[in-house]
Amino acid sequence: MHTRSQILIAFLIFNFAFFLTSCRTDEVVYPTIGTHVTDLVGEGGLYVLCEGNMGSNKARLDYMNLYTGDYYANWYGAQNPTQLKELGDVGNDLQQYGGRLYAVINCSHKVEVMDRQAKHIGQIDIPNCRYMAFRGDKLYVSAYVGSVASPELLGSVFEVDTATLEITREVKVGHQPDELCILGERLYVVNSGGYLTNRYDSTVSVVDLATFKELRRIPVGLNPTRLRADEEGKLWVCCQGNYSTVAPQVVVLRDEQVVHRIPMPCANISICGSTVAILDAEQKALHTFRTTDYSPVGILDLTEYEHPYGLLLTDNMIFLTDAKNYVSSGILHCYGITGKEAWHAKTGDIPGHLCRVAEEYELYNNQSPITNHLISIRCMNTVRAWGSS
Amino acid sequence: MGLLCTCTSLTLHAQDASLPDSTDLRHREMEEVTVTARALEKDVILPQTLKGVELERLNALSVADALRYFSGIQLKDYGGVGGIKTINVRSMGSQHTAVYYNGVQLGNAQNGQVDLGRFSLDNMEEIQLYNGQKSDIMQSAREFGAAGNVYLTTRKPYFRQGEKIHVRGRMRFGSFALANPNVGIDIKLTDGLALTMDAEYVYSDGKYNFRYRRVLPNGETAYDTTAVRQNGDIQAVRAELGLHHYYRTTGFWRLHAYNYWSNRGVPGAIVNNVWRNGERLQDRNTFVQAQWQDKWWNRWSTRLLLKYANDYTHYLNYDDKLLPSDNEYLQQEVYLSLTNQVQLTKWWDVSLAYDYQLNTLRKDEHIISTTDERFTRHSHWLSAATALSAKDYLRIQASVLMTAVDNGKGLAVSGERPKVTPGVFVSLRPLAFSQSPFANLSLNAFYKQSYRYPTFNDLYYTDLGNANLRPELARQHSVGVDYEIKNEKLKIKNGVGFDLLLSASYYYNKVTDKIIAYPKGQQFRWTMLNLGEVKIRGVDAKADLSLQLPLRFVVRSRLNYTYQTAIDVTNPGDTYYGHQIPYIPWHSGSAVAGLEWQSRRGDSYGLNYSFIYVGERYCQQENTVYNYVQPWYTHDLSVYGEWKVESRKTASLKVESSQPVWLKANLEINNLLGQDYEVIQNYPMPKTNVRCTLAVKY
Repeated sequence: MHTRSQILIAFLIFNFAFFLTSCRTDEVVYPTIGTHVTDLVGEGGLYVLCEGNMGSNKARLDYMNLYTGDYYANWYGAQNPTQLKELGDVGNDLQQYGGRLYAVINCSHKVEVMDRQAKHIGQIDIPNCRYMAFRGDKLYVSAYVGSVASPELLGSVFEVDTATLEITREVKVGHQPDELCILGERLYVVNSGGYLTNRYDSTVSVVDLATFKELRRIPVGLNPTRLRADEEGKLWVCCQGNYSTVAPQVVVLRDEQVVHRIPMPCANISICGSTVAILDAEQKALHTFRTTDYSPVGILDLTEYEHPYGLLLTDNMIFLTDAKNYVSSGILHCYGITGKEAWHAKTGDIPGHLCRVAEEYELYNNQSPITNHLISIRCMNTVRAWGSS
Repeated sequence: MGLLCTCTSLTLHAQDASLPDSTDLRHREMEEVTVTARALEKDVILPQTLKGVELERLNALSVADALRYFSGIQLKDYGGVGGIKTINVRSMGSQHTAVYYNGVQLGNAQNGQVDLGRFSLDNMEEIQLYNGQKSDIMQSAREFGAAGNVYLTTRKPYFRQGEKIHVRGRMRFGSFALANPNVGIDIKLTDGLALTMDAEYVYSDGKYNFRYRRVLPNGETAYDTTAVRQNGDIQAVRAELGLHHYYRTTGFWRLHAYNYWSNRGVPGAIVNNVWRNGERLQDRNTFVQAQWQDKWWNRWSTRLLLKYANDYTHYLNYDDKLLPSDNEYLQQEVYLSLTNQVQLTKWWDVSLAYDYQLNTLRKDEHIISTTDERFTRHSHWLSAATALSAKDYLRIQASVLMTAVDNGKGLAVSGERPKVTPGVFVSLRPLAFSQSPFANLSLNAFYKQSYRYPTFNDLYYTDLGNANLRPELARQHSVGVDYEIKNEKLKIKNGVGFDLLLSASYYYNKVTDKIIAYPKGQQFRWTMLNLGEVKIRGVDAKADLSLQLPLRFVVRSRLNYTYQTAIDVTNPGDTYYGHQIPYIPWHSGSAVAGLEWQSRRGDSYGLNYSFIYVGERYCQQENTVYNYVQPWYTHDLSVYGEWKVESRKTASLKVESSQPVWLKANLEINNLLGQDYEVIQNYPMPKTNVRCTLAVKY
């Protein structure tokens, strides 16, 4: 009997220890964490949309204050702590237009509409939405599926009124449309066919904005995913090939005709003024060319990167991200125009989309999440904006 | 021979005393006899076991639910009746764990995962978990090849004198519109030949409320929403047929046919703006297996296993927001195993086994690319094992396994050399024959290597597969101590006594060449690579205690605790270097306590409580606040009654022995406090739910 009571005591201690060690607490919203990353003073800010993996609901919008040198992880969270299930699943595009910030959240099937400080204004539900383009008071969004599922698996481009956030028109285009651009009265969208392994699409659809009808498809090269316009009105298309026998290439269109091809992999592209930067993720190098005569300007060696991914070229800086193994935090690197690294910051998972804004925002420690325009008080080394663990 | 095995049979008998159907000693004996029955027959390292009454009393619907009560395992559960449930033993990954159904491994060459949620407890007699491998060396070669082994043994037919037929009927219903009838019949055809049949139907609409609530750091509610889980419905039918034949006193053969059919929704992740999912899964798993075993000259045992399995999966995606899919997969498996064991001396056994397996996979995609791909794999295993004992003081088991896998290219062409893996298991009972209370104290240790071979998906999955993968290697080192006090030795007056089993082990495992998905080159494309190295250190501790109290009260309790660190040591440059790998909690454990009272005429009533705890963990490689997952713990409660109804008819007919009818009712309440938790992030689990079972047994 003696042993029995001992066992009973052991049992009780065991159970008690359980309760003591770790109990569940209220789940606190994800914190916003500010980190001072550089003393180099710049201007304005940079939003970073981290994609997060499918099903993880970890799309994250970060903000870098280029004046103070502070990087805020989960900036969107501080601005919108009551947003149900946060920003969403898989961020796919980020742009500013008309004093607002727009983010495409692919697997949440929505375009998130925010003010310039990333405060939620509304959302537009578009199934499997991919990329955006703007003109006038309209937003154009490419989507892998249309409002009515197509038996040929064709995608659509939706037109949205930015005032009401209502879809106004829809046009069916090719297979899995990705990036899109507007030149004059026409909208151009690449048809990647990215889901059709071994049967990739290879065209750019031309849509007349007045009638919102597809006029024609321009053959460019297998599996086109990116499309950017330069200041001369040329279109730069990145074709990924089929990852085995057909090599990737960059195709340049002028007046809907192919005028130049650069046989180079192009995971990402960014154009600023008369310079185009092409990211070769296979050889891990960033090539810059003049858009006018395609002459090379320089090469930035990225062999230190695990997986170069996001890219933004501005007139005095190059922003590049390393997505690492795609399932852990990435790194945002900032280079001067000479190619010298100025600073880097740790981001969320898969930092893919960058958007430069003119304003500088800060969060005050332990205060309301409403932010103030610069003036500033230099930030402390690490600002825990609010709510840490 | 009879004498040799009596002790085992008696032990089994004592434990099963409260089982309504008492054991037919003859059948038991024959089973035991065919295995060895000397000091060597005892386990080198005790497995974790759930069987008989204990298994019946658990708040568990499937094998997966029951395995939660073992230490050292992690269960992945996507929620609901139809959600996938897989286990991971000692953090080495679920593909290092082999699951055996009546001695033959359940396979899935496509993805290496066995969904344990599909195996009902109704027909289950015993569930055992061996870390490393089974102690008995009379095993098929392949059994030496896995890092952790779970053995599922279905009910064997036992007939008392004069009994010819047993019938069981059961109806279970409960939350999520669960309806789950089951019927089982055992028929004694001749003295040695018995037929068993078991069939089950499961329906559930899978709808349950779940709640997401977040607060601001100041405690104010940030959001609080409750929604209904959608597309989690399931319909399944299971039917099994067994034929058991015992002949002479040494041999037996068994045929077992299994068929499972299901149609279910895949509920999917709950993410922002997405509250339902459109994936459907239809499965049919069929297998037929045969086992024959005999013994000659009292020394030589032979066992032959044969299996054919045919598994069909139809995956459909109806979600019009995503690209539709309509894929069919057909897997076939032919398996053959021959084991021979020789008893060289009283204290020395050796065994030799050869296994061959053919796997094929046919994949048809109907919508996007209308592909029709076929894959074939031939696997060969050759094992040699030996078991030694020095009376009861020392037991040693050593094995060596050679594995050769040919993925259809021919062994020579693939450049894949056969792999040789050893295993050594030792246990020591320093005080085995003394009168000291520590006679049953045993110290044990093992070292084992095992490979997990890449699956068809790892090798050939569209775009992602990598045909050049090497197998992933796990090395296990473990030391432990067991201490057992048996009822009969320490029985105190007035029917009061107790059984106690205490055990603890420390282990260090290393997994190298871990097969992981890694992004390649450009765009969002992944490939499988042998990239990853994990060091695992852990402690498992458990205590089983049953008390026999006066007035026919019995208390049964079971405690398990696991502490584990599973550290990623792949590359010091990674941000997650030295971090705990995803979904491995540092602390986890369970506690079960049951009180049972038996009336004089044999009716019993009981109350059972169980508690499961899984501590904090991270959902991704990097241990940051953004990947943190809170602990979860559930309290489950059940009450039951079992009544004996003497059959008047049989009594009046003066049949040789009156066979009673048993009625049983059971009410379970799970997640009593209604915790809103997730085992896998974004897959919410049900709040409080109930199940009610009514059963009749003849």
